[in-house]
Amino acid sequence: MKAGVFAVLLLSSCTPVPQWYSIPTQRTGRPETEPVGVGSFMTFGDRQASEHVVADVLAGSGTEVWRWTNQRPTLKFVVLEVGRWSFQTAFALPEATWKQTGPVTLRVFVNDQLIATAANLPAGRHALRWPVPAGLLKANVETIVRLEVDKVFVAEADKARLGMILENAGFVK
Amino acid sequence: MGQVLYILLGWLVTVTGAYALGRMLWSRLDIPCTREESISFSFLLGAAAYSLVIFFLGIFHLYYRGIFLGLPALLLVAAWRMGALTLPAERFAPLPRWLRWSVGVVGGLFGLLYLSNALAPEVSPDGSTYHLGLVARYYRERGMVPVHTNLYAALSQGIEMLFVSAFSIGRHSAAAMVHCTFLFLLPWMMLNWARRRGMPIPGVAAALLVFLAPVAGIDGVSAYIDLAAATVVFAVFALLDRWDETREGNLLLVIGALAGFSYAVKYTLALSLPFAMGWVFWRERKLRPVLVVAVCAAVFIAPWMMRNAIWWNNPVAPLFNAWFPNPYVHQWFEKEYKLSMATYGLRSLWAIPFEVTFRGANLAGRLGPVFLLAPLALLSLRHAVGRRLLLAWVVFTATYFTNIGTRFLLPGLPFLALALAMLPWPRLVLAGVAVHALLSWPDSIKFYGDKYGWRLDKIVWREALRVKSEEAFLSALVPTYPITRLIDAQVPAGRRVYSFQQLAEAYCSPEIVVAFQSAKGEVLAHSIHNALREDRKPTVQVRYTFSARPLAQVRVAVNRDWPDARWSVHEMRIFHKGAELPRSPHWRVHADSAGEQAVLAFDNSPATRWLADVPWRKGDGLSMDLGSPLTVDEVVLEMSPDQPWDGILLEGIPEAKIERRVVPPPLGLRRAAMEELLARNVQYIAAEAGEYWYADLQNRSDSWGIEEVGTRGYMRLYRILANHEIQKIRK
Repeated sequence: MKAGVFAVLLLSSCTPVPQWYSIPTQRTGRPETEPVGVGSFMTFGDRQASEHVVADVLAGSGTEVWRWTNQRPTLKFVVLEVGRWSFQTAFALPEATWKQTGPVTLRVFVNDQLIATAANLPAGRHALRWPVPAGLLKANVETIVRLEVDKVFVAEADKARLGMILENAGFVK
Repeated sequence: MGQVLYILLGWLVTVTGAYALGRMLWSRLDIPCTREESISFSFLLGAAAYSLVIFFLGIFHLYYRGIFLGLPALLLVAAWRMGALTLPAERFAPLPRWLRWSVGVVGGLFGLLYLSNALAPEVSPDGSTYHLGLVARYYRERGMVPVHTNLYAALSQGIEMLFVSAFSIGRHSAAAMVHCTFLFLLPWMMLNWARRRGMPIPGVAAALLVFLAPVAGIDGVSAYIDLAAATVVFAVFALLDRWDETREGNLLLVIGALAGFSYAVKYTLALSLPFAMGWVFWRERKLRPVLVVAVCAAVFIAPWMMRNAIWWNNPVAPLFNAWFPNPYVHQWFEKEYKLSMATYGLRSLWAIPFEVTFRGANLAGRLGPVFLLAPLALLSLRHAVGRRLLLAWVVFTATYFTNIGTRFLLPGLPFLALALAMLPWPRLVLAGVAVHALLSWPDSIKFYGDKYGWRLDKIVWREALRVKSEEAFLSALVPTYPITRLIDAQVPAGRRVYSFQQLAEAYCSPEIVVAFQSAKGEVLAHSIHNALREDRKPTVQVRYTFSARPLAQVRVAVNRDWPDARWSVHEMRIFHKGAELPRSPHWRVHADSAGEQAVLAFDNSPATRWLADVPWRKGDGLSMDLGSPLTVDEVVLEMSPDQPWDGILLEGIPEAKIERRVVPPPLGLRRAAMEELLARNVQYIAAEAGEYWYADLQNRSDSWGIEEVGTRGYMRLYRILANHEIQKIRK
């Protein structure tokens, strides 16, 4: 038995495990796969996220995966084709601010046209999605989306008016 | 109904092959025993030998249905011609009539429950994923092949070899039926051992305690291996006990064979070999009989060790990777995997007794509340036989804390049950068994156990006889079955699918690369994390600048120990006068840990990174050999921000000025990750709704360069587009 185990261990120890490796095939990056400018969807944390911001989104360092907004965060998007799009967004109403505001109502405007209302939102994270009426979006034309909350949290220290913590938003199929 | 006949045929030819081979071997040994012992030991010895035969059929790529049909027939004829099928005349005295009836009623009822579930489509979590996934793969490939994307393929697969035979004819349920055979065999062997000891009533009680235990039931009817493992180690014990009594030399051959087969069935049961050798040496004080046991065991152990040494660079893969470093399973993964198996997310190990007897949710199954009385087994220490049983229980439960799932208690359970059944109050014991029977019936479990605990639900004859659609049953009970059907329909042969979770791959042909099941899967998971997680993107550049000088080697190394973390480098580049020196095919790279992954720091992909396979160890480094000296004045490490950058020094140039810069994440990370999948021959992705990248795949499919193939249940299948397809779309 010992001899058998020894033979097996010897065999395995003889398996050549190279110490040095050749330089591998060099990859060529494909930056063009990420929309450099404005696309149909944005996530904070993406390099081009700031390109989408029109108004009411607080500035960040560019590495956060979310941003505070004021009362009417406004974003712009470009879709490359018309079709059956939905608007989707994920955001949070923190417990700390919600204690002051109470239930919040969110209204979504696409090119100034109200497309959805979410009433009495509780504290916590929300991921919502609504269909966009046909004809509202045009291919290769900037679309302006405004998210409007009915109440904001007013910070005692600097009187900042905080609406929500926005993670992502945009048009999806 | 035709399908049921195939299932039964697959089961029958397999057990016939094992039994016929076992009869030929056992009859030659001329060991005095009863008819009951002769049948059971012959079958087990034959199962070990037949498993070995199938192992070699696999090595020589001879997995054909004709062979699995013809071989048992040949063995049966050979056994008959040898006269090996003649059974001994001696039999155990029959059990009292009232006991026979009681056992018949209870055993019959549970037997129907078990047989119907074993015959029904295979729905167990591990059976439908890797146990039968690998069996199906081997059969498709006509032989055993190294599956380096699945660490479970590196485990010894003694019972799976028997499954291959059954599967070739009756598919999944035939394999489950083979395992179910052991569920019925084990209590019978326990009873035989007890009758030999003159304790028929405790034998019946103990056998029922094991047979009725809910986890034994559901495990035994599934394409698992635990009941077979428990049967084999109990046989080793019973044969040792018999040898102790008779000192019949030929018994040592069988003991050795079955001790070796224990290893072939399940690594953790390798303990049966030192147990057997220790017992024999303790009683004989001679080396020769011990060597006989060891050599016989080696016959069954060595093939698996040799296979793994050759295919996995590790004779005991997928374990002990620190002793046998290899590119297939990471040491770090092994460490984390062992930790998770040792805790199952339990807050305290004190929860185990309640979990494994009552609740059955976190540890996947329950033995039954009666086993809360297990401490009473200590009373059996008053007798020599009780001490022997408890010693065996200690040995075969010794590895339990490496994996605290309830089913890992099964190998020791027969010994505990026998020790309990020997209590000096036989009526109380039988009453306890009656209560156990009541509490183990599926309808009763609903009243005290967690409803999500792993257990059988009811007698399922309609499903067993395929009156009810197999498709509907599988779709209802195997969450990933629907997506595997889509994969089977849509993914061409030879293509591979990547997933963060195990899929029911026993039901589809394309290979599934599961993120955590191999080093390759992990590397791809890291690429995806690197694309999505801020703390993983290469947003930190550590620049080492110094006066220009010729260098033939460049090496960076960590200057501290840090036990809880690993260091990583996305890219390592060298510069002169601000221009990067283009990488030459003559250069060589090396890493002190995870050496085969060193290339990931030199592939120019922002989605890959070299990641050490050990915690920060002072002195560990990453090196470039430039072949001949090149003038260099700057070295740059591109890293993720989740590690201390000042812990890495440029060796040999202590005066180098170190500077850290934060840079924006590179564009195209998502596509770069997909290109890593394509480069490793993975063309599809299966994502589950709960996974963190699920929404991103949908929302940013253009950036990933993927197209949706379809959705089934809560999972979605995507195809990764080739670069030329993307270019075509863009035009």
